[in-house]
Amino acid sequence: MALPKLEAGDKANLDDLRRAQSRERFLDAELDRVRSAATSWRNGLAGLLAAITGFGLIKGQSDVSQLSPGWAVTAGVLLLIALVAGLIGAIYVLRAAHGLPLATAATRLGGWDASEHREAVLTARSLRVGIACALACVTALVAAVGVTWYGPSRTSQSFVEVITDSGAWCGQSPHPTGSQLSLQASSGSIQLPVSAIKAIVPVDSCG
Amino acid sequence: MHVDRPYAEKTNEELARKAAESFRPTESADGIVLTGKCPECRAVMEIRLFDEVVRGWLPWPSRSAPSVQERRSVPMICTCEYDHADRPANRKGCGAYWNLVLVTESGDGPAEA
Repeated sequence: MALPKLEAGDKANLDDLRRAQSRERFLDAELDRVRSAATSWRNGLAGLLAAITGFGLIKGQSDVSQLSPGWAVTAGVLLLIALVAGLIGAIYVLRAAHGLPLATAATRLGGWDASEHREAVLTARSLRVGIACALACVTALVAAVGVTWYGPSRTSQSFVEVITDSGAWCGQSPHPTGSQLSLQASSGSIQLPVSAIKAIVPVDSCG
Repeated sequence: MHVDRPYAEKTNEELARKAAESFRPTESADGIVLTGKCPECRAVMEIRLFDEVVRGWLPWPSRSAPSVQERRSVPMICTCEYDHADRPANRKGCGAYWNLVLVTESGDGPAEA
């Protein structure tokens, strides 16, 4: 960037004075201001995460192993996304609120005011990334809880034994087709007359 | 050598002329810093002319390049940290203020953020 040349300007007026004073006030307080905002965001996001976590414990099944395999994997991936986003968000928000303990070569130090401004800009950027990651974490967490609550459970795919006048058949996914009941057995699809069915009993497996 | 004088908000064209001779621009990561002596109290001071300022409500940064003007008038105040009698609590410097014009050579291309 080419440096400008300086020339005397027009005679200043009170508007110029107020603009210059306002600019100095903004710059003097910007790091404190953004640090304060970061601390508030840190507390707010921590509270939001705690509330979401607490809400997830209120009701609904909480054991992922009870879900059918595909949905269990989905819940696991969502929880992993929530964990990674939460970790990254926490690091960025904490960096924004408290800074990083870095050592810099004294010979490379610039002006104090410019360094403060640079830190304020970096803090604001960290805070924005942290907020985005924290919200992504909350979203993934809510989705994981929703999947765990409302996803089909493993028991919904368990086996049933259909008892008729002429014997008992074991299989999965019974569903009526006209006057027949279709049952998926290991040997293939079985059609059983509904009128002959005496009982349908859930079983752990077709042994 | 710093000249001790009570705080007074004053300006005249002579202050701007002296400041134009005294101040030197230096490049920083976020803009330009003007360093020189206050034309009134003679204290060494800095004026920060950055491209963006962080505000409380955290705006997303503008993606557009900062505007490049060939002549840009900048209002300046004394920002020295010496004590000046009668200075209000929320003020800084000796109270002197003036305008400087930053002249950018045409054909230099856009400034970098």
